[in-house]
Amino acid sequence: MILTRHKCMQKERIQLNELENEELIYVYAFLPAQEASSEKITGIKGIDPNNEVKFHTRTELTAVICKVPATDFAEENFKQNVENIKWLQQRASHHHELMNTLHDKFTILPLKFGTIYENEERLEQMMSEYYEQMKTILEEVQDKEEWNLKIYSDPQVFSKKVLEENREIEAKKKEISELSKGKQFFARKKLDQFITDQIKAETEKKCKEVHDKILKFSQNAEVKKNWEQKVTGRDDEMSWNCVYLMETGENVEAFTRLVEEYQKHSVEENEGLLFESTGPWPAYHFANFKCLTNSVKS
Amino acid sequence: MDNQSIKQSTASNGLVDILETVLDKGVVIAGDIQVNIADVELLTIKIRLMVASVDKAKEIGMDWWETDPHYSSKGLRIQEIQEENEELHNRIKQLEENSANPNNNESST
Repeated sequence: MILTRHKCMQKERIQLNELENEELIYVYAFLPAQEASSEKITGIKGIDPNNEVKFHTRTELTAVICKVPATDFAEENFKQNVENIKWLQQRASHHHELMNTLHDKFTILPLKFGTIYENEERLEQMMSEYYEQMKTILEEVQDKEEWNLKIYSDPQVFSKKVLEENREIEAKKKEISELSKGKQFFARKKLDQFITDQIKAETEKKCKEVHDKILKFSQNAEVKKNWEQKVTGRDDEMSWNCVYLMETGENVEAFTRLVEEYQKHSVEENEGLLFESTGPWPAYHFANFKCLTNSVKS
Repeated sequence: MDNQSIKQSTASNGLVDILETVLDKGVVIAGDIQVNIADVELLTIKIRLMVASVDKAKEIGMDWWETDPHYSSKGLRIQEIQEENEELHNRIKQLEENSANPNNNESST
């Protein structure tokens, strides 16, 4: 009995030691090897502060990597670590900042936070497997950047507008007040739903108008899910959330100008819309293999 | 007017914006290690609650951990001072008693 327990403990210790010495490869991005050879990156601390960010080139592609200890990044340990918001915050911010630095210097295919390979062989295997697709994506995102636009709407402004534009609502309300109590409840519910739907249609129409204009000077777009109020913690509603891929320079300037004009107009006319744009981001949403075939430009 | 300024951030994007971008996107290439942290919405709520609760706690004076030695070094220092204070009080009391005693002795003789 004692002997088996002792054996078990020994085994556990070996596993822990194995993990301590093991190194994994954290991958940030891919870039064309010829760009990587023209400019060096040295002395940049990686996601593991004890290791530097390095290039790993295989034929025409270069991976931007950092060696990381398995004690932090092996699947189970990593899973536990990301539960810790502070740990996640520091690493995600580092990932983001390093990606911005890379994006300033190179054409990059940015990867999602937490893309890890077991060893160099596995990384190289993947690089040769996806070589053609990566090359196509790199060509697509060259000299481009990503911008996110969120449009928030003031429900009060929009409900007022809906009530003004739908005179029949007033009449309907009067009609309902003359019904029996039981019937009133359902009729009122139905009317409320109608008003909510109208508000939604109205805000969507407005946002779509802005979106269609932006599409004229963007190369790709991905409409994202609107966040609920419990997520944003705001009083107004998120009515539009979309990322656009745009050529650096004129396109981005036109986008910024357009958003500014719409914002100004909304304030002057009390339209109840608030525009928030963030960028430039590396083309995170468009360095996606699935994006290759379906362009959202419809 | 605040409404007229459009929020545009670059290097200093807010944490939620960063998480939305670096976590919440389609899979590009699967790594060998799979950790799914795609639920940015839940994460956002968590972050907001965390921030809100710290501020709120301070507001209503519930910042006890700042003085609790278990949670903060400031608390540890306060505890040390308190102990030192207590010791000094005892010492003074003792000295006062000692200096009062000779008088007692004198009056008794």
